[in-house]
Amino acid sequence: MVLGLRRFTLRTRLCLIVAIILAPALILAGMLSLRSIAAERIHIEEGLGRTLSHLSVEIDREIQSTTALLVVLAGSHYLQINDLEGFHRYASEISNELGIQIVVHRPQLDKRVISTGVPWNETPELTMPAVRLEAEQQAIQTGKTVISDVFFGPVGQRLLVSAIMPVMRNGTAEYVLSIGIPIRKFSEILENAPPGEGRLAVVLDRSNTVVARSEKSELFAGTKVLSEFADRTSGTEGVLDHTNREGIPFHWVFRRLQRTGWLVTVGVKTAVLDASARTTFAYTATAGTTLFAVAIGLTFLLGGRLEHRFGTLGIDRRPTREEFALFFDSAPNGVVLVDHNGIVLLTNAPLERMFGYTQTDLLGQPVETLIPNQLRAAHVEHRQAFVRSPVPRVMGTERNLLGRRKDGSEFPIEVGLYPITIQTAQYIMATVIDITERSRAAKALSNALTERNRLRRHLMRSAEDERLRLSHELHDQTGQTLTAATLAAKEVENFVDADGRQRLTKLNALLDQMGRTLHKVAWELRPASIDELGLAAMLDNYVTDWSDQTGVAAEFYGKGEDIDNLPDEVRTTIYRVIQEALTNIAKHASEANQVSVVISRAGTVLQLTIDDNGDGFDLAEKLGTPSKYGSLGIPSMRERLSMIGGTLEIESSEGIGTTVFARIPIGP
Amino acid sequence: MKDKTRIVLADDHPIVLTGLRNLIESEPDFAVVGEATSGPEALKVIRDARPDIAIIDISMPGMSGIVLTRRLSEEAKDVKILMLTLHEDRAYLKQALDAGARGYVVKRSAAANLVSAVRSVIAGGIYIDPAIVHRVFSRSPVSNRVPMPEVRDLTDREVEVLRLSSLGLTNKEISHRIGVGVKSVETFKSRGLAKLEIQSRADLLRYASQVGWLADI
Repeated sequence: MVLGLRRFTLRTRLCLIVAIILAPALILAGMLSLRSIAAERIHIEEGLGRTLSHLSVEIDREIQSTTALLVVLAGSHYLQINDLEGFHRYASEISNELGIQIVVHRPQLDKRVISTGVPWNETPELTMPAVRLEAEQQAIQTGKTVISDVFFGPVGQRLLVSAIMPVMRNGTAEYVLSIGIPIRKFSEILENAPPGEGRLAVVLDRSNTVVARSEKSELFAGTKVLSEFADRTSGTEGVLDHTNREGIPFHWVFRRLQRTGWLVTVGVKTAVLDASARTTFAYTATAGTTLFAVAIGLTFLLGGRLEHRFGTLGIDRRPTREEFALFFDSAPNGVVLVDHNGIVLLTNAPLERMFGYTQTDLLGQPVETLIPNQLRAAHVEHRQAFVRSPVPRVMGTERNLLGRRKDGSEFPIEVGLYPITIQTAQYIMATVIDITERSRAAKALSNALTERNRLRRHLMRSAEDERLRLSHELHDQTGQTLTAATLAAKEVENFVDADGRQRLTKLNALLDQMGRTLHKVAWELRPASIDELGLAAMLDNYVTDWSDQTGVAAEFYGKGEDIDNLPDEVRTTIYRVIQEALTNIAKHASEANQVSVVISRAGTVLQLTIDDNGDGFDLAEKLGTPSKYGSLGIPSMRERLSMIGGTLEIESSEGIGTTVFARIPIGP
Repeated sequence: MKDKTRIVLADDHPIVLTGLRNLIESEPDFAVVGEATSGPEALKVIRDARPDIAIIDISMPGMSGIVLTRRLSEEAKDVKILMLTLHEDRAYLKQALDAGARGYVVKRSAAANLVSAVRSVIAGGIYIDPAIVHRVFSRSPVSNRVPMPEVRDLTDREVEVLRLSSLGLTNKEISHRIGVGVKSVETFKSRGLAKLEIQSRADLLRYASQVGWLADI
């Protein structure tokens, strides 16, 4: 599906994805609102039911109390003794009190009807309405109280229902006693317990005539309901949808009263019932549609922006999945992600190439797969230590770290470790660099430096040998020949006259001058005394000679040190360093009048310390100037010392003087 | 013959040897009784010939003139030794005299001075070539002025700085060691040296060894 989506633009894809995500949510919301509509309907119906029950009870109570009154009247002693006048008086008081009409007559004897609505003397002889008469017949036949349907009372000129009770004597009805209840009583009950806004309560008698109504009772009471309605409410209770008498659609619940056979029904306008459902549905639909539209709209807009920015590889944003993969695999270094147990979770292409694996080879493998066997145990320990204290660090720069390819070959690597914590899980990202080339170059450089040092040393030694040779040549060969020449000249003295002797004296002076020069040159090349007398004695002599030549008080301290058995190279270096230092003092510290050359031993280090009390110099200034730096002979001193592992330190401060510290490691 | 002074010559250079022989023999009272061109040979010749005086070069193969002189001082005390050498270093002169030589002549002045040198030594004196004699009496270094070992006048800091300095530490190292600036180290040092009237490092070491600062090296 994702592949299929690739055909579309990113914006379209995003919109589709949002739509696909939102649709089920909206459907769910619709279903929930439908459920809520159903619940609301049930709630309304329950309300109707409660009203229905309440009204039924109230109406039954009215009938019951009327029946109870009938029983009381029937038991009165006026009827026992047949004192109808007395009864009339008695009943009239009650009926005035209760607003009802009490009627009694003797069906067996006469047609005379005694009614509380009519004075005793004016007892009329009236024709009973058919409904009333029918109910009376039924009461006489069954011997029980019967409630009549609605009829128009001829006495009171109003709609009534009658509760009719036979007073039986010897198996026949001696009297028929009835109480006429104005239907007003029932509409009051309905009005006292209003069923609510948009609701209507109606009470029908057995012939489907309206007894009472919660609204407009005076208008509809006594009229029949539609026959269709009557047909559909023939059961004891039920629900139906039907218009009311005004043609408005209603939802009705009804119940038939047991005692009277009347029908009590409560209805709610279908419009009201549906209103909540419609509202809920409307809200849900509106909210859902709005949300959907906004989401799609935003996605469309933002998608457009993203698409715009996704178009080329930029750097000012988060990379896309494809770009990330591209970057990850284009990284110059190998990258491997492992979990805290060292299991490989992710590798990039360079790493796979570097080690000769494919990605699937490595996933799920311990990272030690990439390490040579002999290093694995140590690596596990290192890794665990890293998990315990994860601080980014680089391995392999100092000690040699090796990687192992799939084919078993090994190569030097440098590894950078970076801890990554996602929630509580600990991961390690490692970058791996193949340093084969670097190692090779470093080794080559090291070899070259070693070779260079070897050559320099060789050169220096050669130069020193050459000086020694030259010194010997001049001293031992030329010097001896010169000696022989002076001796020969001396011999000539015996064979020449005074004039010749005078010339010979001049010649001798020239030969003497030549000898001095020869000696000086040879001595400066390399004093033979280093080898013939020992270094300490030679230095003592050298310092004294230097003092003689420069006129600067100078002393050598260190004759006690055993330096004559040091290697030739070390002895030569000591001599040359002192020679150079003293030459510097002679050249640059003309104010100096006190010089010390000290050789001392501190453990396995031989210290040469040469100090003067000249003006000193600003070291930085002097050393900062290459020509002066060079003229001090410091580089050559330092180089000679470094050849034998020694160091050179110079301290100088104006007004105090300069001290040269040379340190040479020697055996114990 | 008995009146003549008997002389052995030892020099590894034949032409020098020839020149010397001619020079010596031009003196009527001198007689060359032996010659040698190496140290061991010279030892043998001198032992055998028992000359009055042996003129010996310092630089010789097999055994240096100085070692030879030392041997002869023990084995042939009556033979006087005169060093004849190209070396004009004071060190050679000192060593030669220490070994028992009675004369020291540098070769370049041999033609002029050797004969009088031989005569001086035979006469029981000591001859030192005028070309280098000044070195024997070269200015005496400060070593003779031994400062009084008085540490009391020094502050603790001055003592510490002078002690570390005498051990060969640089001012910078002393500064790190005792935790003060380099300039302060310089000040402590020069004040301490001034109090002790010490002017050179050599004297400082001499002083240090006297008061025991160097003991813990």
